[in-house]
Amino acid sequence: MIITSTAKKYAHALYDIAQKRKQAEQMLAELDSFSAAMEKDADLRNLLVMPNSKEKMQLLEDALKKLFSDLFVEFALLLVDNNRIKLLPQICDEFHSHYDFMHSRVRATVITAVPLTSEVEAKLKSQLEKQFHAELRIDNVVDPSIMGGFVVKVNGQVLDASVLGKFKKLKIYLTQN
Amino acid sequence: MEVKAKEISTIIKKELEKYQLETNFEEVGEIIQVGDGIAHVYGLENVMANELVEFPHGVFGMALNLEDDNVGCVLFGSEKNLKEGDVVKRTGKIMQVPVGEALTGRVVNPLGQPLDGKGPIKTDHYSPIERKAPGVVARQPVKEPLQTGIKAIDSMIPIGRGQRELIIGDRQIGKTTIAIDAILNQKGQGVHCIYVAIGQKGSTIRKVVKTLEDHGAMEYTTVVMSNANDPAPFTYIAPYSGAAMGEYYRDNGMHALVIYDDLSKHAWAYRQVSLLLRRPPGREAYPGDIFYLHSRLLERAAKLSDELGGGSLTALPIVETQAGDFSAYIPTNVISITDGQIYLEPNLFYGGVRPAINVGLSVSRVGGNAQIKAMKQVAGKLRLELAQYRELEAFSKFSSELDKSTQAQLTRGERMVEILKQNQNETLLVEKQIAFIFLGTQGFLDEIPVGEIRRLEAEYYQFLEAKYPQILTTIAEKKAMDDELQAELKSAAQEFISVFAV
Repeated sequence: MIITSTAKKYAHALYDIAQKRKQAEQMLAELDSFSAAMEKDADLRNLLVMPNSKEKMQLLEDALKKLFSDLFVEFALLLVDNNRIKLLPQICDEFHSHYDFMHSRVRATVITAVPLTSEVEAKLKSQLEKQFHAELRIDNVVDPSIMGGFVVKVNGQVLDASVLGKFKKLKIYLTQN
Repeated sequence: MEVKAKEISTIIKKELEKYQLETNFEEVGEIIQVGDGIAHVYGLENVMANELVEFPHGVFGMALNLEDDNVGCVLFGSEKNLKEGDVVKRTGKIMQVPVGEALTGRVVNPLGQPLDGKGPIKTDHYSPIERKAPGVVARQPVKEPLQTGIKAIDSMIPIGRGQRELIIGDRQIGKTTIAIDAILNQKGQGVHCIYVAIGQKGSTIRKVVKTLEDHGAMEYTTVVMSNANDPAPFTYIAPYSGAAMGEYYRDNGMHALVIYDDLSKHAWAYRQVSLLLRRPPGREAYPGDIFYLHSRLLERAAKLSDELGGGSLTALPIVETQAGDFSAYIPTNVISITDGQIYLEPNLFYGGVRPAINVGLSVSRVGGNAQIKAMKQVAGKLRLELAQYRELEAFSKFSSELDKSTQAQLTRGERMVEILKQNQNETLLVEKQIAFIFLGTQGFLDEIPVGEIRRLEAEYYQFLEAKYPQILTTIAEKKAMDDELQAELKSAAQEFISVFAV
């Protein structure tokens, strides 16, 4: 997902406050659940982006207060008030990566043709942890189109060890020389 | 032709045996937006300014704008197959081109890829296209001449090795011709030439290459070309590539001459790229750093100090003016950067004075030190006499009513103008130029009808070569005129004029 600089600023600000109040983990969970709800529920999305009025804010505040912490409610209302609520999925993503960065954790996406077995995953994890000197979390994405092998994406870096990638490189080698 | 499937498969097998696969972590980003030869890329967090990046389908680009949340890249290739979301890879290399002797005689594009069908360029030397110009300590004043073989230039607007001399004038009045003549005259002088065609018509470039080939000048010349239909980024980097190629010779104690034809088109290309990258426009919509664009390019022309090998890079930038307006933005910029200018005038050109150099407006600020002494001795009076002639020219219609001395000045001036005329691609050795200008400044031609002077010139060279070749060789060797030599040249001239049949 492309994260704009505005989303980054909101996410970092939220992290700073949450960290001070020792609510960062809670914020993670709340952001996740709210952005998942936004994605699923078209009615909620419509309500959030419709023109602001006192009644709407009051309604939202009452509804959110029952489910979320005070900090999150304030934050969500601020976003609605500033017409930035559309950025929430981005903010959520950026919050995650910023949280990981601050706790020297790295998220790695591993694309494979068939689901990873736990044995292979552990091996890959230890190897990657050595390389990046950080605690690693692996998200496994299954994509049969790569045919075999795997593709690892970490922090904007890519290791393409898939059969498809090898074929592509071979094609360039054979046609250019 | 019969194609054997087995043969093909053996070739492929051989290739495959050589093939080694390397898998490394690569830094990537993805295209947010692409169009007009520009791509905005998300990601590529650690990309450097001017770094080469790789797009899919073998298209390369250069990172120009490093912004908060995206990287603005220019594309060196077709954007046809690129789309949003495509993966862009870092190469970790700053934009560079092949340099060195392997490039002589070749026609290449601004990326250094051959366009002449003579096979790949085999060189181990690469150089970044943007390099820092040599500092003050690394330089020394211009002191050796760079003979262009054009009488009007070598006598009055001398160019030295390491100088930057602007050629400026309207379209179609011989700017490129002067530059090409300068290249032709470097044959056997140990000067490597680079002709950079910036956004030129394909037919024009073809003609230039043909002229160079016909005169055997491709043996020491490289042509860097960006066509008018190439994307603007090619045109933008073309002069920098040419400069990088010339710098190789400069830094290795050799001499090089690079011609940028022309910098107004370069400025247009940079304006296009800048506006598309959303940099703010300034005067005439050029970006704010348009002056720096040309000054950092032309500063790379230099004469290096003896400790660094004494190599030189001479630059002859060309700027096209619109309807003689050389006080426009780009011309004034480049005039202020260079060490002088050769100003070509349409009136002179259509009046038959070719090369159409306006001697009054043309100057060479540093070349005087580089002129050989003999030329200084004979041509010293030339500029003055021409200036006086220009002042009196308006009165030439009433010449019969003027006093004797004015009339004498007018006759002398008319002949001086005639002396400086010269045909395209007919460059002259400096000793011949000196001998002929000597005729004019000493008044030997005053009695000759103006219409006969061109014929006289040709016959005079034949006469000298046949009867007094030692005079020419002495001038070439001594590079100065002593009394003895002057007397010798005078008597030879007298003998020639007496036998010359009008």
